[in-house]
Amino acid sequence: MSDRGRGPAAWVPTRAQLRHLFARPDSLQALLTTPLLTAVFLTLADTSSTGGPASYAVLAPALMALWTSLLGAAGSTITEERNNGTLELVVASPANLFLFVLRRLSLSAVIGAVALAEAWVVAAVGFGQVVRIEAPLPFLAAAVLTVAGMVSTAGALASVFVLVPSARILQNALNYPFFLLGGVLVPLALLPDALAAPGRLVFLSYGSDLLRAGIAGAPTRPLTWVMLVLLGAGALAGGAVAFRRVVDRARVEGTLLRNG
Amino acid sequence: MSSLVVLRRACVTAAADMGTLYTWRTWLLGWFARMVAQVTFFAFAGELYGGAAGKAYAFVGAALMACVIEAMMAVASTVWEKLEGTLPLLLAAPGSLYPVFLGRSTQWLASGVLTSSLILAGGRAFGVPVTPAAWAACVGLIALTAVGTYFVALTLGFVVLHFPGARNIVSNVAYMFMILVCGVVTPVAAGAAPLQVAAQAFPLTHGLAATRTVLAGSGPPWSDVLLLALTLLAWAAVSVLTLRVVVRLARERGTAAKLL
Repeated sequence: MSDRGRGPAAWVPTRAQLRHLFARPDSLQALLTTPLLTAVFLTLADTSSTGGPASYAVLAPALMALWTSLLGAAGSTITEERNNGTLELVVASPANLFLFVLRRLSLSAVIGAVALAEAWVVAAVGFGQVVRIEAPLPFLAAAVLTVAGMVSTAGALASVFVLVPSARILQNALNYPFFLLGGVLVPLALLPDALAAPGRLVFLSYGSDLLRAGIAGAPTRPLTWVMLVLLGAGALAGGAVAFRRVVDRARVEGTLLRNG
Repeated sequence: MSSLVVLRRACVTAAADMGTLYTWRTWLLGWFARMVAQVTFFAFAGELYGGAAGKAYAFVGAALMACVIEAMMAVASTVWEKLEGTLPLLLAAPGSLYPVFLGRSTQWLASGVLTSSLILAGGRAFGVPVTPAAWAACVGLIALTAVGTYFVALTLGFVVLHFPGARNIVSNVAYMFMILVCGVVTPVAAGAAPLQVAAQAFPLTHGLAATRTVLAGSGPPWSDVLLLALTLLAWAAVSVLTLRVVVRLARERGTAAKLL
């Protein structure tokens, strides 16, 4: 896989990387299930007795596809390098392993964008609901920060997946709890306190609120933006520390090539 | 060796597979907790768009969906025989192949029935009070729905033997389609006419209809139970025929060990 060295260009995906991304089973799975899940939520919206917004039903599947794809990539990025025999080379190189993983994971942001487009098309063509983004700039800012937070969190989790032999179980366990506490479909404000309280510690709940506000053109509170940035940065810092510890331990114990 | 002996030994394999995948702790925290989160997610989605009635409706659907999702894992575990290299040996062995596949994925049935039954018992928290007698009847319906879906999964698993890389995509897309059409979060009648027709083919549609009738305190839903039994037997027959065709093709083309 070609590398563009350091600097901003290193974060722009190459054609080969995009081809590899779309060939991954978890990417394909996310892109194939997104239209179905969107149709499920939109059928709910279509038959709604409470006037729940259709826009929520378009945003949620995109966020769910992105997180599912990131979880899959976080689980397999290290394993792929290990199986290809290149993990030791990456660790021995001056490159930072955590940054390397983050760059690979950031490719999955493309999946999120494609999933959002799929959901939008299903709504417009299948249900006659054209979702307009009333405040595009705040929406874009919220999207960038939310995706960055997701990539950082998935990167932090990748260090755990390296250590744990049953990574698949952890990957399965971290989807719906995250969707629920992250308020991807139902805002935390509409959930009971027992769920809303822990949800306030999940950066995604702030990202989801800001994205919905961007679609509706509704005002936002500065605190929401601050919490999104703080919690995302916390995940980034935590992931960097966790990776350093995991790699150092693997170097000392000579277990870099061992699965779990 | 009689088919019953083969079936029994295949069930032992299934139990052993489950033992390597989960301990009781990882099953509770890694699987059951995730399913509780998923049911809660869909229940509140139902409330967002349909109020208290929507929440109750979606809760019952999502609770039953737990056993369906697990039964659909038989698609992947059927393919494991090919990935583990035992398929050519099974083809060379005397006797029918069907009892092997029938038994080797039964761990998902046990886990799925337990998951759905336990979740349904907590219905009061979602506005669905469940009496002990109704719960006992529902456990029977859950078991029949799980077994019927198991035959759907076996059929798909036999087809996917030729495309092993697609096993998880096929099972996920299939169960997502069932969520859309089988009356899980929205009534079957809310879908387009072709989808309503397609829904009748799935055991889940009739298992759900019967479960909702029981929980509503109405009389025994014999027509739904009959349709559930008929779809179960139909898919059992289809799975037997599908395996015969797949085995014949594999023997003619020598592709039993071919993974690509």
